[in-house]
Amino acid sequence: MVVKIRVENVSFNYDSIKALENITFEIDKNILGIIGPNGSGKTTLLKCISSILKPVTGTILLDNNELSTLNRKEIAKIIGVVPQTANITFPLTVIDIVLMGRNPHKKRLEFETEKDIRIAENSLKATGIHHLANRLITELSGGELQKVIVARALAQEPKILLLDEPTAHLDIHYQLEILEFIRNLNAEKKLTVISVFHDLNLAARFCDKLILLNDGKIYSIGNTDEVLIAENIRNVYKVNVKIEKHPVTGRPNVILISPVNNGDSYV
Amino acid sequence: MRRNIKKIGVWIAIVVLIGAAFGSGYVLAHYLKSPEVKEIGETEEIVSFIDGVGRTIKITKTPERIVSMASSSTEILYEIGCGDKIVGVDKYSDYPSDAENKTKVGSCYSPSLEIIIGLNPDLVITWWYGRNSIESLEDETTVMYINPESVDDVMNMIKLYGLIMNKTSEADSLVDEMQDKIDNITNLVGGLNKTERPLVYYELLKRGRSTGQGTFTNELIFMAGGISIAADEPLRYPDLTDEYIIAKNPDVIVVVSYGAAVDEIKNRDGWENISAVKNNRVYSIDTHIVTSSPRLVDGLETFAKWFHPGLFVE
Amino acid sequence: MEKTYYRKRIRWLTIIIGLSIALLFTVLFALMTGVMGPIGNGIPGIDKISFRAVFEILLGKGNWPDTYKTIILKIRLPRIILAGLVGSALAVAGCAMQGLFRNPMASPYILGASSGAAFGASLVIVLGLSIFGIYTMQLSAFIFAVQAVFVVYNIARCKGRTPVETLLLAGIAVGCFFSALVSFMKYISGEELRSIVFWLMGGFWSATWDKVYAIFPLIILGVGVLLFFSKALNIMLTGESTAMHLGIEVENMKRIVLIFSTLITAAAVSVSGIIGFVGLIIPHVMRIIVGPDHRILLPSSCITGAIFLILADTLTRSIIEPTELPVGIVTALLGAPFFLYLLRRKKKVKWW
Repeated sequence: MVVKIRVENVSFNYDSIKALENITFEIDKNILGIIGPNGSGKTTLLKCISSILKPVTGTILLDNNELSTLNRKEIAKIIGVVPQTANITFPLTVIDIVLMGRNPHKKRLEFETEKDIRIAENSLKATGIHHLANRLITELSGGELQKVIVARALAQEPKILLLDEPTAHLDIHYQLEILEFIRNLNAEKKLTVISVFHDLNLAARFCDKLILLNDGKIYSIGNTDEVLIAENIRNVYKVNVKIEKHPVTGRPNVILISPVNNGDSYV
Repeated sequence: MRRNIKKIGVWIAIVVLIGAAFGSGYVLAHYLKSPEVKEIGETEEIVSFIDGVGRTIKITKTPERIVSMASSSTEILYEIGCGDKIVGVDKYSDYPSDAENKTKVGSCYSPSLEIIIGLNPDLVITWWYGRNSIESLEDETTVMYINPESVDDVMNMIKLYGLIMNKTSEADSLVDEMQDKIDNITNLVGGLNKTERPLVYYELLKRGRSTGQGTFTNELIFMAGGISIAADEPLRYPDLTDEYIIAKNPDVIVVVSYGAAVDEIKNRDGWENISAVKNNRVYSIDTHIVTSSPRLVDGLETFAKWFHPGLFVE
Repeated sequence: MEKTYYRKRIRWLTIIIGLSIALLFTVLFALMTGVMGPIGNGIPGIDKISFRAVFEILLGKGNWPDTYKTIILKIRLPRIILAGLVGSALAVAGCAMQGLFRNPMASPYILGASSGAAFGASLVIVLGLSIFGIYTMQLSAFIFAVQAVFVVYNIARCKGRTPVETLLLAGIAVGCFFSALVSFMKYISGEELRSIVFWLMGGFWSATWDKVYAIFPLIILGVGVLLFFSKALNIMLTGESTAMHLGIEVENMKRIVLIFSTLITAAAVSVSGIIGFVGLIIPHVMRIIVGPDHRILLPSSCITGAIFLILADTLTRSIIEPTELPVGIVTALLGAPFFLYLLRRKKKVKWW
């Protein structure tokens, strides 16, 4: 059961500052990466899709349901979100945190049933941290914590997973491990994944499709190798790059050369 | 825009509410604080009257067990010979000394209701401003609130206790005796015009805090032939600035006994040119005699001697 | 894992039952304590109430003097119930506010309810108002407490959002404004000054059944509603946007939690004056003891708040007879050292 997202003409302003302008795209069962320089609107777009922000104009459709007509619980059953960092500073146990993911499926006073606990345990097993279940969240390392957050999102049993630079603060081991895991999820559970990336090489490695944002507008959209070309990167990021094929994975590999100086001419 | 209108609406509502509270408050406060009405009439009850908070009190039987939480009432009851009827007093009732032997029930602000009930009283006397803490006893026993604001009120209160306690002759003679002493003084100084009266600065607990309009103290000062420098201040207990006091140049300074020391006042910077300091007319007064009890005549006499040393010879 | 969860629920149930029994004993102890005995100094020349008398009066049996019945049923019992209700209300409201604001400094008074109530009460005391009879002061305190928070909420509200930081700052500002008004009231007051001061320190010496009846439904309702939100409060601890992602209607919930916390705080303050410390410390103490999960934290704070305030009030009645100490002094004197002790002992656990 794949849920198709359609974003139609979405615009958003912070007061008078335009953050998104006429964003339109469609995605199902793929891994979509959103890339772009700082302030290009990546996170704003993600927040619009997760219904934290309401677009000023335009609509977002999940299958045929307009996002704005759904309440948060209904949305949370479809969309799971993994934020950049989870700032949890109080001593709940890991299993408590993961069980919070079951909230959209529960009534207010309802206690967790065996089914919920099984689902939570399965998500812990899937992320490989089942042994941490009874540890306090405050005692975990950054990488373990991020896995807990992914496990919580999985416990929501979502159809779509939104990630906001999920590995930004992790070492390269955890970066690859978590992203490989998400790629597997996409393949096995037919989970649609939309993720914001700063690191172009990570985006290139994991995404089927890419959106390149510039100043709140879609500069380029398409398959990864169509979007990640030296000219796009130079125009949007103001950086000269060389794009090669990764010798092992075969994915595009971005090699940074130099920032574009104002005096340089490039056509 | 609509949000703005809503916000403005909220603010207007607040202002109106506060305003309304103030407005109605002043009306009611005036009603409450005006000299209490005492319709003393003999009926089938012994006496019925309106107390200091406007309640009608009916006494049907001479009280035998009284709790007095107002030291001045304790004194009056002793004076008219009902000291033995008192079973409990507040912590400020220390005169006459026998009152100290009575069971203490706390202060009128935070009395121990349990002790009061335990004493099984048939009359509880307390100040009007202590009502919040005792109103739950109104159903259990007779509670009367007093609010004496003038010498006349004190006289009426003595007569009222005479009626309640069936001691009218004792009360009347006490009133007459007090009236004689008061007359002695007012005959000498009552006719003085404003310029002949010494200006008096009466200092309470804190430097600059004095007694303003409508206070009992200022009435006594006036009856004794003086006039308070703060007599026209609208606040009952205003905080006067040094500048104000020095400009008024009082002829006499009276400080309460629990307040500053006389020497300290004399040595205050900038006060050395105040007439009272120059002429060594700074006095400390025992506040027990500046209160709504029979001893107020002592206070009056003390004041009169200080204000007009020539007229009253010891 | 399921077993762990099962065990946890048993543990929670044990805590609640244990605390309830402790509450029952506290109430009985408080009923026995007082000048008139059985636990107390007694008044010279007057018989103390016996233990048997207390039990029989409670059960409506026996032929005891009216004085005894009045003391047990009309002086002590309403006072104990009132102290319990106020303690529960303040502890639960404090717990909810700390959770909602994710701020350990939050207390039921943080949004200006206490300053508003203080102004409402002092206004009535100074002006001698009695528009609504003898309960004008309580009513005024309640109205101004609610109004202060209402103003704070509306000031902080912007584009359908109420950021926590703005709420807290607006709360402090409005609190200062009302405190200034209270100071002004004190300044223009005469003999009433001490009444205001006493009210500000809080106490139950004027407890009546009427006051119990007046706040009972409100506090039960409010505490009930807040308990309803315990799971949502847990999720709120992970941050507002995460809470939204997990299906919480954050603004809605914030509004409801604020409304009911404010209502029960205002109800409590209006009958007892401003009793500090309970709302701040009880939730912390319980967090140290039972953990941060609001599903156990809220109900256990509720019961512990009641126990604590009943005990504190019983002490105020018996420390320096006949005068009663304002209960606010006792709560701080008792609570602060105990809390610091817990803090030191559990230093290793980062509990916030």
